[in-house]
Amino acid sequence: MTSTRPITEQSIDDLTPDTGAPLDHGADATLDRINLEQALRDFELANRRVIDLSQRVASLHRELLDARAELSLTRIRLHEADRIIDCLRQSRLFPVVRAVVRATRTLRR
Amino acid sequence: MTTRAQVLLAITVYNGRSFVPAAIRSAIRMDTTNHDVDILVLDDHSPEPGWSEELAVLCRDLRVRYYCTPRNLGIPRNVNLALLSAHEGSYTHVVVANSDVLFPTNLIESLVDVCSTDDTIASVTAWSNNASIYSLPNDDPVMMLSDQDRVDWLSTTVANRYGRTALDVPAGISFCMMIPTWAVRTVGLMDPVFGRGYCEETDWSLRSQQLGFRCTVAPGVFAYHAGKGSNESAGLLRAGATTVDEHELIVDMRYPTFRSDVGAFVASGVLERLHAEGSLTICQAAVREFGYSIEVGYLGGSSSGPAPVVTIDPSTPDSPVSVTFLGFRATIDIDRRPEGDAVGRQIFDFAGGRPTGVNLLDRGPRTQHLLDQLGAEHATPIYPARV
Repeated sequence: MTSTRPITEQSIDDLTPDTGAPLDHGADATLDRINLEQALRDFELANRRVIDLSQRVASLHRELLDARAELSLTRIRLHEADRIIDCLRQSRLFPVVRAVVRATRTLRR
Repeated sequence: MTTRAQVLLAITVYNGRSFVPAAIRSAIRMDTTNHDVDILVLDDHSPEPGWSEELAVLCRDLRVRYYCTPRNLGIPRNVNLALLSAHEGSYTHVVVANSDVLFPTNLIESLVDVCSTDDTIASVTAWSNNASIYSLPNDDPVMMLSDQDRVDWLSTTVANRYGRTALDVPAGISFCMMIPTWAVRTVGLMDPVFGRGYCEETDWSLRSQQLGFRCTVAPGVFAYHAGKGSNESAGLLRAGATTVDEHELIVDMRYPTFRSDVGAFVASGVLERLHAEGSLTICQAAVREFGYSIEVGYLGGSSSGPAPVVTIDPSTPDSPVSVTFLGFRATIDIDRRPEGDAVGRQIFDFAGGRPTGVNLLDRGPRTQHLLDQLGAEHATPIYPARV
């Protein structure tokens, strides 16, 4: 049965239930040695992979923070630009300038 | 004279009380005339109560080496034990095999032969009814093929046709796959990232190909594979699933072109041709060796059992003529040109003789004409059974 607890909170025995034959059943000195040596290599490999993945997660997290900061800055600038546009639209000169632009376009046709 | 190969056949076991003994008994029957074969049963600490003890006794009685790992490793790491044992034991080849397989007697001979054709072959997968996309189509493999004598006959038959042929494939299937031990040293082991299993041999195959080696299937050897032996019940596979999605994602990430390579391989039509040709080879060998009957009927072959049957659809002059045997189906290529021989003559040529009987399942405008051609004017009318 699959546990609903996070993997870090589970014991190794939860992950690989140790039912079945006793530990010494079907033992073989050569295969036990090969098995143990390879288990240690696998353990080392798994550790390296965890470290590598952690580094990559950390790196991606930094990138995420940088991207978020840049996004916030861009939003602030956008907001400032919107404010300036509103000011321009509200000025008394704006209707005059817009009329001149329209007249120029008409004349060009 | 060829050098004797030293082969380790490793059968990985996890539960499977109902089928593992048959696999081991099948393995010890293998022909060792030209090569030395040691069998190693690797019990991945099966949790089924009492099973590991039973298996140990069985292996002792059959003089097969048995090892039970102190903890459950999962398929990739259990297979790695096999690969490492072969390396340490100075074997020349290792066969990694599931425990729901019936091995043909010519397995080792044929696989070693294929390996010997090219020094760059890193893996040879046996042909089977259940070997992913390479599977030879069969209507009812469990009923028809799970029999040692039939497996031996089938394997001998395809061996006669394909010999040492090696078909290059996108990836091997480790249900029954031979790896020369030099390839283990060069390519390495199965990656334990694949946890309890599935896709590890795909990853291994692709690593071997990246190093310039070949992954092949041997159509000249046939092993019966039940499939999903103990994986579904062990929770390794979700019900109805044939793979583990998370592992497929790892393969996709590591080898972005793999799926398109498989697509191109399938689209090339090589498998389709091989399947059609393989089925025809088996059916033709069967009708020639065991005799056959002919059925004339509109609905096609009613069954595909242990007796070869040629079925003729009498509805149109160019209707297909098919042949079935042990769940295999093939179409006989009949020359329909006016100057071509009569259908009957061509069937007799294909079968190497006349049928033991002709069964008339349906009557129709062309049936009498066909019966005349078949020289079966007094065919047995059994059509009421089909009504």
